[in-house]
Amino acid sequence: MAIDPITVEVIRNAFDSIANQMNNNLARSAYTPIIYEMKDCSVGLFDDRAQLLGQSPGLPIFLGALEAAIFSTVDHFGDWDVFKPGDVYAINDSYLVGSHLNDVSVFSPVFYKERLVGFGATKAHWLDIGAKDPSQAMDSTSIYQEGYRIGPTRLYREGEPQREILDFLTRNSRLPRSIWGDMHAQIAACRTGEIRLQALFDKFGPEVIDEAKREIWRQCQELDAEAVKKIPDGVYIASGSLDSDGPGGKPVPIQLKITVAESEIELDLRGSSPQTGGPMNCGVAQTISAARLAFKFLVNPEIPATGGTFRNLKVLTDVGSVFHAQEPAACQYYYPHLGLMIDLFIKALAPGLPDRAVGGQPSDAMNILFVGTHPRTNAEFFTGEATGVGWGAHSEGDGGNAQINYGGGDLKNYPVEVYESRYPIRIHQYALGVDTGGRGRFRGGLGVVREYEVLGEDVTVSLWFERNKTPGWGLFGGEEAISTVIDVEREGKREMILKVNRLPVPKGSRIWVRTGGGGGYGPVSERDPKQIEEDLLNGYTTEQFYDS
Amino acid sequence: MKFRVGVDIGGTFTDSISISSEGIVSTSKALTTPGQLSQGVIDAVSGLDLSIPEIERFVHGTTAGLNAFLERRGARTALITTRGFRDVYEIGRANRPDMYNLKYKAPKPLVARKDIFELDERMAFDGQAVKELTLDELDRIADLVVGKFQVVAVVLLHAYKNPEHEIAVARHLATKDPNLLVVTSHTIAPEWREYERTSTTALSAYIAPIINEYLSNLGERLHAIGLVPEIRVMQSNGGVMSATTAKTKAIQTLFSGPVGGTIAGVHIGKTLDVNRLICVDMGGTSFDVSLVVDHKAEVEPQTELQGLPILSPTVSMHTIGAGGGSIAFLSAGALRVGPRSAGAMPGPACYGRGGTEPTVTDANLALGRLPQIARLGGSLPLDVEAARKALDSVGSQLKLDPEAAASGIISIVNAAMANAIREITVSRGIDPRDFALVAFGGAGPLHAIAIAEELELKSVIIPSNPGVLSAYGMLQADTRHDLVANYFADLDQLDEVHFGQTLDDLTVKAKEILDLEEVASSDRYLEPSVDLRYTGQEYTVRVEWPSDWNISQAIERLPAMFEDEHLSRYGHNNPGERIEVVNLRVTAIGKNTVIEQESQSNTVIKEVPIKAPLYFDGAWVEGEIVDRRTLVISDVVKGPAVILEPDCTSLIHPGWSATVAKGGHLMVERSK
Repeated sequence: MAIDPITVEVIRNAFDSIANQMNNNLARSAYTPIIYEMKDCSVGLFDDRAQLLGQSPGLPIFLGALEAAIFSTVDHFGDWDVFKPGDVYAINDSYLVGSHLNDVSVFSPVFYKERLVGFGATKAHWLDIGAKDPSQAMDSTSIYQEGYRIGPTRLYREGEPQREILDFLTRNSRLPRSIWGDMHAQIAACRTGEIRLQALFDKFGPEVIDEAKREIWRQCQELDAEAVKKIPDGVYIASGSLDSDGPGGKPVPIQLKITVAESEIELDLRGSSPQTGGPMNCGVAQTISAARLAFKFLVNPEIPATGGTFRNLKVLTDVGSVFHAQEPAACQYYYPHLGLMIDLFIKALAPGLPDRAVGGQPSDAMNILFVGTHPRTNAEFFTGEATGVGWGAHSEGDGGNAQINYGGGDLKNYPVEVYESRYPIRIHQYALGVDTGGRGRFRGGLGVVREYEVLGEDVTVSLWFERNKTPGWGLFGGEEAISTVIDVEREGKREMILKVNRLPVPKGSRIWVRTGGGGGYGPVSERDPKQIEEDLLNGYTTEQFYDS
Repeated sequence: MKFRVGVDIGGTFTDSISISSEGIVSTSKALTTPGQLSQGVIDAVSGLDLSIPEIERFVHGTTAGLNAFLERRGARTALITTRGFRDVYEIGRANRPDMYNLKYKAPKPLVARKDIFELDERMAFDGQAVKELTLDELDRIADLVVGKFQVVAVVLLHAYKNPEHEIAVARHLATKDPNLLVVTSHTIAPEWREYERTSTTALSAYIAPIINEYLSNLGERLHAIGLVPEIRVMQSNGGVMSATTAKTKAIQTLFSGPVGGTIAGVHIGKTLDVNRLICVDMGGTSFDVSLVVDHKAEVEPQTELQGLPILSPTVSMHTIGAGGGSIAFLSAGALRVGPRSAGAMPGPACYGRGGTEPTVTDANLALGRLPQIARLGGSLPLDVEAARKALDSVGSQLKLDPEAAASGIISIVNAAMANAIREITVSRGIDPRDFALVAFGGAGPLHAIAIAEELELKSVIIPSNPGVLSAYGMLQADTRHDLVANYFADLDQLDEVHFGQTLDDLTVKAKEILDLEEVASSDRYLEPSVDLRYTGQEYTVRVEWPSDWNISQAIERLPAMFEDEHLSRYGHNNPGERIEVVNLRVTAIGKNTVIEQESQSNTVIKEVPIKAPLYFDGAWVEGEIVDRRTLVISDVVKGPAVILEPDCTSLIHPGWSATVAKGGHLMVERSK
């Protein structure tokens, strides 16, 4: 007999809620703001074969990124029988789980009446894992400069903490207390998943839960299949290039061939750049997760992901490419090429989904990081922040101004007042980049202008900015945006620098960050004159913008 | 005879309640009168069993500010800010909470970019002027705003540290136009974080003219018909303030309605001697959860409204889209409930106003849980056939009869509400099983027992007068003001003299405000506290200490108190790690003596309860329909039963019994 729809709905709700409870527990007990404030983390509840039951939103780029940790652990030990009650595992190897080594996956198996029934899993950004520079380096050339690499490793074995491992992980970090706190927050989140999933088994029993999960997956699969069927069958192609693979590095070309056939989408990334000599690379697991995010942006974005989602998405990569890096490729900047890939995915499919697509954006985190000695305390300080960009316009309106890029979600900027109180830096301007959006029936969003002055003596700056040569493009006659430009003025000399590691910036140096805008949508000739008037009245654009 | 009166304006009704010095309660409802809200207030008060000059305390929860915000009918506001920072308000924190939505629209600022003006001046983080403010510059800015705007918000960088420039702007504008309303950020939210402070100050300015006009108008009308004391206004922080103070702190009136229920929870907890309460308010469209621990409502220093942050202490309230009007629908063979709501128009199918989609209310009606004689809001007849038809439109596709579809819808919505409570309690490190549930709102007492079963709670409290509970909370609330001063320093390097001086300054301000509020000295309480955090964290933990400690005593004990508080809130701490001070706070309280509601004595004529069929667990069983007005203290109603009163229906499940306890509240527990 088929399971009744009410029980299915109650269980579906429970899976999502358990994932939310795990996430709340992680946020509640995490030590560092990058997790509980910036949500640089991901949380999921899985069945006994690592199929997703429920996921709670964290960093969007980690959508569907957790099962790789479980699968590679099984591969490593050779069998699903490796898991015992009370075990907790950790893994961060970029080639196995995808992103940079700072992102450590921690998961634990869930047992019900001595049978493996699922997993609670988390992934979170650890602030310092002993890389060559504090926090992260922008110029690493191999993974061995980026901190410790953890293969599938037990943190707890049948309830017993593996003290040597825990000691190793904390001893080799510049911030042992945060590592300790965040790791235990992750373990606590997994335990919450374990307890709640066991309670759900107590209430409904294994058979009902098994039937319910299959029905939930079937529903998701059906909805996704229906959505993809609406995209005309065919091959959709797009390509583009990143400015460089690191400070002074080479451009990184990537290409996409998307084949839509009935309800299936195949994303072929073969032919893209080989893995780079700089820090811009990622493991294939992270590429799959980014492809899932690109897919989710266009296919049922409002429905939470489950084990039935992404079944109609296939991803192909070349082994040894920037999307499928092999040892010893550095992976610190695992995101820029994925950001461009997501941007190109939307561009390629735009003709098939004109009402869902948005214009291009400079989809990178846009990092600026000062390191130095604080004149008041004489202690070392380091900052770190991501900068918003202009988003592409779409069929319903102008693009968003000054928002974190595709992969960032709840990443937040750093308040000027807090920044100045804490660091010997003054910020002279934090503003929208007037005229930076692409023209169109709907105008692209504006990028950000942020101007820094160094007030300390012994300070260096590290920069990672992208998409100077490939600005946000327009769609359907919409125009291209203004691209990212960074100027550094030291001792009266001004130069443009997009990427650099630890550049000395003497007192009085100034840095102007100007991130790019988003692309326009539709021809500018169709723009409502009222909206042009509003743009001018509010100064989002100057007179010249609409002139030529 | 002396009376206290509480009045709360809701979307449909304006509720009022009075309590005499002997504890005799009277309630009254009048239709809310949009456009002229004071009329509804006067109508409601006129229905009370008292004469106006006998009122000794009049507390009002007003939605005037909240409605003006929600409908974007606030005043045209100018914003003056530091040169280089015009776009702080629009950029916000640059985050995208709706993260898979490519077309995400950030919350729209209340002030258009063209109405934001940059002032040539600059304070550094330590309060030193890096760029002085000149008279010419003041003249220039005055020309831009005077005569053109109803209200001006002034938010200058680091004004929480040194407000001189903000004060200079306000004074200068006052010389140009004494009637221009000027709202400065250092008076509204003297805390760092320029976006949050801008958002708070702009919102306060935006609603201020409306609040001021409304309170003046209401005051005049009430005093004209004999009201003696000044009107007091309920605040978001759960306390009350005088109307005079409210005119300078419009932002604090924002959530004055919804928090009344939680404050009533505080009082009920005291009456029944229950220390830990989960308060749930379930209405037509939303389900609000708040916590009361040790007779205190949880107050958070920051909240948000439609994505806009507000730096003002607010009773924390979590809302999910589940209510009587939540609509059930099918999606890929799945039965979903809410968050879309039928609202008041067309409303549930059973309202007979053209609604055809089944709602939670229709489901309750079809299961006998909302007897047809229970006319919602006291007036509306319910159409069972329309409800069954709507249920069938969904149920038939799932091969479920209307009863099965109805109980399915209710199971789903109950599970969602229980999950919401679990998610809130887990983020606080709390086990919900230690709590009692206080249920109110039109639909709360219908669902409370099921939620309690789901969460394994031992007891549910259904307050007396659940239909006017917010107003009841208001008349029991204390006077309260939260004062704050930014104080950024390492805890282990505190300058005791400077720290003490800053605290003394706050204390002086606190006393001044209690003077203004005419609080008797014997009723005054000051609660000093400090916001602390480990270096590197953004959010802070508030640590309170007894006001009779001297400064060195407090400073010495703060680290240990912080570690304990951190452990209980976050489940871990890091003794030895550096701790930062961020803010100093003083909460000024004017205690309001509590008057207990007199329990009804045995004077009511007992009626024989009506028997009626109720649907539980797949079968119809016979239950009792009881009129709550016939119940007296210690009476017991055993489930299955429905307890009716004019604007609320309580469902007692089989296996549970309701006992009339002190204050007339129903204490519902598992039958022994």
